[in-house]
Amino acid sequence: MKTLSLSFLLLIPTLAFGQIVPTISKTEIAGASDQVLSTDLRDSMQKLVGQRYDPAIVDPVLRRIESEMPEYVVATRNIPESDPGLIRLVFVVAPKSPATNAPDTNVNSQYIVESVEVKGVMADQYSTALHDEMQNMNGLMLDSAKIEELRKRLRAEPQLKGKYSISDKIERGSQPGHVKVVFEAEKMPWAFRVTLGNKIDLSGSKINEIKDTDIVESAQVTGVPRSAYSDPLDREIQMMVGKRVDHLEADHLKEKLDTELKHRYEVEEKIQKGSKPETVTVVYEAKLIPWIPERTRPEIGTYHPQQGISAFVDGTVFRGLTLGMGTDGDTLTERYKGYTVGFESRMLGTPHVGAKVRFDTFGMLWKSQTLNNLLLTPSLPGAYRSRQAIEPSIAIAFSPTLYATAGANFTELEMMLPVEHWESAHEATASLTYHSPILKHGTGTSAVSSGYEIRSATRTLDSDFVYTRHQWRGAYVGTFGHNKFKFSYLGGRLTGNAPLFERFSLGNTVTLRGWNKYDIDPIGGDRVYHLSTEWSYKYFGVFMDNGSIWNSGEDSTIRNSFGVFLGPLKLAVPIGCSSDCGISFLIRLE
Amino acid sequence: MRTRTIMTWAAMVCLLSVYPAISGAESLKVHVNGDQLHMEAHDLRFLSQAALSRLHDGATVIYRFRLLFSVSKNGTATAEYTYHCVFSFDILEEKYKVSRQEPGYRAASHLSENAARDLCLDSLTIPVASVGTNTLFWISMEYQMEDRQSSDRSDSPSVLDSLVNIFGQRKKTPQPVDMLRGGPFRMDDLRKPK
Repeated sequence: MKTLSLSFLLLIPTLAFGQIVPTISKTEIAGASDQVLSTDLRDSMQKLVGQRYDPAIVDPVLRRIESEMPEYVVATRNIPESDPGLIRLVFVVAPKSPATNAPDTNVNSQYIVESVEVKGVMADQYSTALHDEMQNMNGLMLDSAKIEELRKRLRAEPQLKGKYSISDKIERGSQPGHVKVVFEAEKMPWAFRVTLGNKIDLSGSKINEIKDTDIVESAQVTGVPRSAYSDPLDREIQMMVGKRVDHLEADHLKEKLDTELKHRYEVEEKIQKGSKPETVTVVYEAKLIPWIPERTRPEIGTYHPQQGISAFVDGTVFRGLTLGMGTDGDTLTERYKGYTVGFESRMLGTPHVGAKVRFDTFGMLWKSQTLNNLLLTPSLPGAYRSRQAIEPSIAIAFSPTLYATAGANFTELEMMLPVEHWESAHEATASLTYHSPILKHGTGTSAVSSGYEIRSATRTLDSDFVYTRHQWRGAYVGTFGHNKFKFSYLGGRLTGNAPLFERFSLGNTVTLRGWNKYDIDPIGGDRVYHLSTEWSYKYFGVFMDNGSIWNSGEDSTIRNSFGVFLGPLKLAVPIGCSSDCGISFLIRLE
Repeated sequence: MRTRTIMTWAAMVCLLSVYPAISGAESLKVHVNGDQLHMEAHDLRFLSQAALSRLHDGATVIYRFRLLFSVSKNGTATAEYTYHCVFSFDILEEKYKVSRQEPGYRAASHLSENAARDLCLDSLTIPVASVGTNTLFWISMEYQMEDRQSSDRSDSPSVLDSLVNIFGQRKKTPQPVDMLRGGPFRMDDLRKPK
C-alpha cells in the first residue's frame, strides 16, 4: 500500500507538468564553424550540456551567438536522442540576405513539391503559361512566396477574376519529404444562390437543397462504358462515398473524367438528394459530343434605321425537333416572316453522320426600291408573295472540326407578276465547313472557321430556275486578355437566273455597316466580296468594313465604312456616300 | 444530517466545477531575464481556430503583437513595442515552427502548439532599462492575426466584384484585435528571487 502511495505521489509532478522536460545531451552549431565563436561562448555552449532544456538558459547563449555573428541569423533546433529524456541542441546559423527580412519561415519549405493541382476550375479556364509555371514547381523545394504569387495570378485570370475565390493548401505527398500543393477555386456565391452553406439549385422548378454536411450515398458515371476511364479515377470517385459531400472534390473529379474522356464527351455533374435523409448522390452524366454542329438558322435581333427591326429565333425544342419563327429584313433583299420547323439528328449511330429535314413557310414584304428596280430589270425573276421550302440533307463529319453536307432544297415561290402563279426553285446543295478547335497560347485564344457552299438548280430537278450559287465565308477570332480581334471574309458568285432570295446583298447590320442595301443594290447582285475587321476591348470596339456587290459584266464599286460599338450598339459611318446618308445607329444581337 | 452532507458535497462539486473557469481567467504575467522583461501567459490560446486551420493547410500565419507600457491601470501608454511572430505547421512531422521577425530574427521548430505559443510570447520583450525600478506599471498586450488575404483587397474591384461583395458572402470581417493586460508590477519585486 505504501509503495502504491509513493508511486502515486511520484506520478503527480509528471501529471502536473504534462511532459518530462528533456535534458541537453550535446550542443552543436550548424551552418558555420564553431571556431568563429569566442572560446568563452563555446564554453557557455558546453555548460548547457547536462542541463534541463529551458529557453531561459538557452536564449542568452543564442543572443551571444547573434552578437558575435552579426551577419548571420540564429535559430535553435532540438533533436531527440534515442534516449527519450535527452535532446541534442543545435544552434542553426544562416547568412543574412536581403530576403532575411522576410524569410521563408514556413517550416514546410524544407520539403520537395511532388505535385501541383488546381481544383474547382477546368484547365481551360486559366492560361497555359500559368499552368506551366505551376508545374515547374514540381521537384523543387516548396516556396511559399511563389505559391502566394501563383495564387494571386490564378485569382486574376480573366475567366476567374471576380467569380472565384482561390485558396492554397499543402498536403502530405506520397513519398517521404514530399508535399503536394493544391490550389482550390471556389465559385463566389451569386446574389440569388447561397446562404448559410446551403446550395440552392434554381435551374429547376424544385428548389433542391444540398447541405455541406450531407453524406455521399453513391457516386457513379453514366453514359460511358467503365473501360472508358481509368481504375484510379474510378477509385477516387468511389472514395467520395460515405464522406461529407465535397463540391470542390466533385468538381475536380469531373475535370479529371473530362480529361480522361479526351473531351469527346460532355460531362455533367449532378449532386442530388439521396434516398435517405441527409444523403446525396453524385452522378457524372457523360454524353458523346456530336461532331456535327446544330444546323439551324442564325438567331438574330437587329435594328437598322432604313430596314427596321428584325427578330428571328430558331433552335432545338425537344429531342431534335427544331422550331423557328420571326421576321427578318436584314439578311436578304426581301423581308420574310413566318416559321420554320425541322427535325435534326446530329448523330445517326455514329458521330460521323447526321441528317436534317426542314420545312419553311414565309410571307414576303418588299421595299418600293426593290419593286421599282425589278420593273426596270425584266431579265430577273420577279417578286413573290410567299415561299415554301423543304430541305432534306445529310452531314458527314470527317473529324470533330471538318464536316460536309449534301442535300436538296425544293422551294416553291408564289410569284406576283404577271399574274399570281407558282414557280419552282429546286436545288442540289453541298457544303464543306471547317471549325478549328479553340487554340490557347499564353493568355490568348484563337479560332479559325472557313466554309464553302454550292447550291445548284437544274431542270433535272424539275426547277423553273436554272442557276448555280457559290459562297465562301470564313473568320478568324483571336483574344488576348480582354482584347478581341476578328477578321471575316465573304465571297460569292452566282450564275444563271436565280430568284431574289438567292441573290447576294450587302449593307445591313453585319456587312458594309452604315450603308443601306436598298441604296447600294435594291435587287441584290450576282457577285460579292466583303471583308470586315474588328477590334474590341471588353464591350467597346471599332470596326472597318470593305466590300462590293455587282453583277456579272458590270464594273464593281468598292465601298468602305467604319464605326464604333458598345456591345450590340453600333454607330457606323459610310465612307464616300454621295447620297443622303450619315452616321447610322445600328443594333445587332446574335 | 444526511441532507447537510449532500449539500456540502454539492457545494464542493460546484466550486470545483467553477474553479477552472475562474483560474483560467488569464492575465498577462512578466518575468525578468537579464536586461529584458519577458511576457508570460501560459494558458492563453491566442491561435484562433481560423489560424489553426490555415496552419494545418500548410500556410504561414503571422500574429502581430503590440505591447503598451503604462504607469497607471487605465492610463495612456508611455511606451509601445511591436513584434511579429510567424507560425507554420510541419505537414509531415505535425510540429510547429515559430519565428520572431524583429528586432532580431529568431526561430525554433519541432514544437508543440503550446510550446510555440509560449516561445512566441517569451520572445516579446521590453528593455528593463526603460522601466523605473520602484514605480508601478501595467502592460497591455494587443494581438491580432494578420490577414494574408488583405492584400487581395488592394486590387481595384470591378463593379461586378463590388456587387458580389454586397450580395454574396465575400464580406471580409477584419481580424479581431484581442487584448490581455497585466499589472501592477514593480521592477524591484520582479527582481526578487522567488
